[in-house]
Amino acid sequence: MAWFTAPVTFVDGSILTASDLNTTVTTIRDGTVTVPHGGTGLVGGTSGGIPYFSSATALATSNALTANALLLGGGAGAAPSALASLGTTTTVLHGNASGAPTFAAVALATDVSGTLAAAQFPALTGDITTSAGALATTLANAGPGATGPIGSTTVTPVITIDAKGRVTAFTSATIAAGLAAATQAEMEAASSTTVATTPGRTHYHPGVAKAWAKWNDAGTIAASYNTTSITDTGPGDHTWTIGTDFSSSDFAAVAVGELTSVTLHIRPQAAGTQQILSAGVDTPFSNTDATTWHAAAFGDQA
Amino acid sequence: MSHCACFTLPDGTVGIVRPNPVLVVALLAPTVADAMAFLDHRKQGLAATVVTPLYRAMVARTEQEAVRVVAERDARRLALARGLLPDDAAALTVMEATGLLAPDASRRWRNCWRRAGAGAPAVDMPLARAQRMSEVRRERTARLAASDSAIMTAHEQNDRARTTALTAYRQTLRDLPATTRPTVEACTTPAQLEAWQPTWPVDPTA
Repeated sequence: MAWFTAPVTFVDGSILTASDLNTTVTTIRDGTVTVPHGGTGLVGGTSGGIPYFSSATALATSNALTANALLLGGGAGAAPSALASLGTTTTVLHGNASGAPTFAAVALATDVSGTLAAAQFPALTGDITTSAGALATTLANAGPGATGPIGSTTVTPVITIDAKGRVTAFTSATIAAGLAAATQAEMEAASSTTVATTPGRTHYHPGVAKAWAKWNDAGTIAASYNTTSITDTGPGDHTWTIGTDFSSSDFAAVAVGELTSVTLHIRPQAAGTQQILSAGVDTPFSNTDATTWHAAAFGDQA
Repeated sequence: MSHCACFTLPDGTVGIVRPNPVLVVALLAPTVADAMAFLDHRKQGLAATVVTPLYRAMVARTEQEAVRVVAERDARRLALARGLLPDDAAALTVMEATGLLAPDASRRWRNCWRRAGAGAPAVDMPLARAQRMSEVRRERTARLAASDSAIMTAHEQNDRARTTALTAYRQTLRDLPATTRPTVEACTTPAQLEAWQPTWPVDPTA
């Protein structure tokens, strides 16, 4: 190795003294190399932290980052930081357009949309409960070749099922006819072909007897419908009183007697009573008991 | 059902209401809901709007009370239907049905049943005798009419014997109500009156 003695004069005339050399060597040994000189400008950092550019020409160290935490950028000149929450096994990270994201449970009402394919529907192992008490289900159209209204390829019925799985409504342009119960007005109008007759309202139909009875000459009832009593006011003179009245005295009553020698005839009537007289065939002006009386009445019920 | 209800109309006519026996049994149920269930089971077609007021009107849960409330309702409706006032179906009394028919089981004198106040109906014998005499006169008139052609023929044929016989026969017929009245008046019970028959003269042409 060749040594030289200071000062040293370079060919361009500049002089390097011993003092200059001592200063440079000390700086290299005890100081840092700044970012512009290819260094970091750092002599240490925070344990668990990371270095970051605090300016265009300087690095700095962040605070310690929580174990397993997600790292959030700090923006220009600011240190990155850890997301405060680690979340739980039942939460997911929700984005935030203007701030830090957060962990939260999935809200089905606001977080989920789109159509769930039938193949992706999970198997149910318990009861479905709904706060509103109803679950609307729309059936898909049946494929070509189906017959009858339920298999219609042009009609989409809607079935509404309540929380207990009961069908509470079924609507369709063609299928509703068989499932909706007729009202009293519809039964009395007797014209609808899109509602169904139910046992509790059958008697409102104009073609159905509103009351009937069978009784003997003493007025003792053997069988009856909508009948409260028979009143005997004389031989061959009985009054039949019904439960629910007709809407007026204009109703049709028919009566026959179980005795070949008598004929029954009807007297002017009230909405809830019908006087029936029995006369002998040979004595038409004299009332005569019939062995057994039969009567039925038709009309509009109140 | 062993009871019925009896009432009296202004003309003295006796009415007897026989309630629907199934309704009477239903009204004895512990609750009106039970009553309706029973009526529905027996297919009576009686609405709750009809049954409930009757059930609530009962002061005791007995058959007599059930008969009373049904009979009061229907007797009033009968009176209104006949152009009377509701209370014209007066003196309504619940009584044993069997005893009711005892005086006139055959109902031969049903038109003559009358009541004293709220008592049981009985056959009014003067009325019954009048009814029987009316029947005799109606029969007498028919027999006279049947002999009209015979006496005319006898006159035309100048058959004096036949004319005389027919004239006597017809006069006996005309007198029959008067001649038989004492025997009718002697009948003091419905059974005696039902058994009584007039002695009809013999038709000379028979």
